[in-house]
Amino acid sequence: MSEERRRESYMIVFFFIISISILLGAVLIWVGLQGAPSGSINSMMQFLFGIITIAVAAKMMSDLMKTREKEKEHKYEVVTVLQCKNCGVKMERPTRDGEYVGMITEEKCQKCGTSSMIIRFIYCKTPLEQAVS
Amino acid sequence: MISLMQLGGQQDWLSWILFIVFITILQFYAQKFQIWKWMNDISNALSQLKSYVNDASNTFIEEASKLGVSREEADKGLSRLKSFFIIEPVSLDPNGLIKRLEHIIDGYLDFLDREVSRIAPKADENKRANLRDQLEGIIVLDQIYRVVRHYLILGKRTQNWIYIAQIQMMLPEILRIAKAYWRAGEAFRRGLPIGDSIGPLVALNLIGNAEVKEIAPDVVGAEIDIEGRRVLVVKAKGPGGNVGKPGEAIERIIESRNGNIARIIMIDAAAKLEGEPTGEIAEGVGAAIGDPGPEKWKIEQAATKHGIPVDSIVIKMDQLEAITVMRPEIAKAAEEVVNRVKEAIVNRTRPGDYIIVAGIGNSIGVANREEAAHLIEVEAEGIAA
Repeated sequence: MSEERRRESYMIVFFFIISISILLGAVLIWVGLQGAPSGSINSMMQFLFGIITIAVAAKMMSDLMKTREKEKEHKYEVVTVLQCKNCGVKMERPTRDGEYVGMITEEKCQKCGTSSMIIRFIYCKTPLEQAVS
Repeated sequence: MISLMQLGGQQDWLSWILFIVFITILQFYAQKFQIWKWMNDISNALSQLKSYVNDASNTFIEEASKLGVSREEADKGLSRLKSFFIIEPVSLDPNGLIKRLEHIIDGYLDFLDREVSRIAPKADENKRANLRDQLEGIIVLDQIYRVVRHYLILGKRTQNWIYIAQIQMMLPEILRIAKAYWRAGEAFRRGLPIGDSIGPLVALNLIGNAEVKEIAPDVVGAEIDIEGRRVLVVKAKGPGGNVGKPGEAIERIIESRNGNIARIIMIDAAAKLEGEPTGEIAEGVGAAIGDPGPEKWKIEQAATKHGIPVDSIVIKMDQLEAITVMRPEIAKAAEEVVNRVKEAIVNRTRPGDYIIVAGIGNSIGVANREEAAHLIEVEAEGIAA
């Protein structure tokens, strides 16, 4: 089984456990509340355990969501900014291999049609925290 | 469910016993559970680190194998280099420490260059420099992986939770740094400018299409005119991943002109403090260069000997932004820095003065001039006369 499929299976099992825990917690709270008028300490304990079970399940769910979010690969977008040598207009497009800043290309300017554009910048538009999280 | 609902009443004693047993188990095993969870976190992080090392290695092997050797040979060469180390010179005797450090750094770069040439014999100068930077990234990634693995195994073996706790608490930052190095591998493979390339980028903007010449190992320079001042703009040789020896270049120029330099202006990337915006520009005095010491020392020595003021302009960025593909805020700061350099020259020097402007940093993805330029190797005297 591939690593990805195994992780997916774990996720499903965790999700099942969390669902059962929430259900159990809700039942304990309900039973606790039913016995509350009698004032027994047992009802209080059941209510307390119900709250704890739901809190733990909520924490697990939150961790699970965070893990899934982290696993989502953010698009790493690198763009090239070209400037026309004739009219100075700038345009932006995805970076191609072998390009560097200061390189003069024969691309046509969209404004004046001159076939001489200089690469002014190459930069990454993906925010750092997304790129390294 | 029914029995659960009937827990109250006659079975009070049972739930109390269960509760007490639960508390007792927690009393003795809570710390064990905590350590088990931490070790699990570290194991997961270790798998992640291993995948970064493998991915970066595979990319390197793939690139190298296109340039003259088989995948197996490239793999063998890389495996040998992964645990490469440098032994710092002894500092108990500080006499000549800088020279000894420079000697070791030269040996390190020479070693890596030779090994990269052996692994990728058909690589041109730029590609070789990029592969060397890629290799340095893999060495760092591998070292991070080894250190984390060391503490995990040590913690497991000794059952000492201090080892486990300290590495677990640093995991988010460790993973962040590792991912930045992994991303940096992509930048070096494709030859894209990184945050640290801002110095050479400013230098390129000043040079424009002026003629450039090589004035020191992997350092080029071009003379331009700014409002009647002769300005020698210096940068590492691009567009390959070089930092060159800017200190040596500046020292050579100063000595060749017998100290007749009005001012030195240095531009470099600087680590920002948390809360400071990326791309913020700051000005100061002193040699702005983040080398291990020798290059900065040469500039300070030569400038002090001849009484030349050294000004600096830095562009602030996160340390991880310095090694990954340049961010728009940093790239766009270049234009403002060019204006500040021109202002500084006009306000602090007189027409006819000779000024050195040095764009410090890795020149990856940054050309030497605005056209493909043929480099002519000349002595420093030739350019500064």
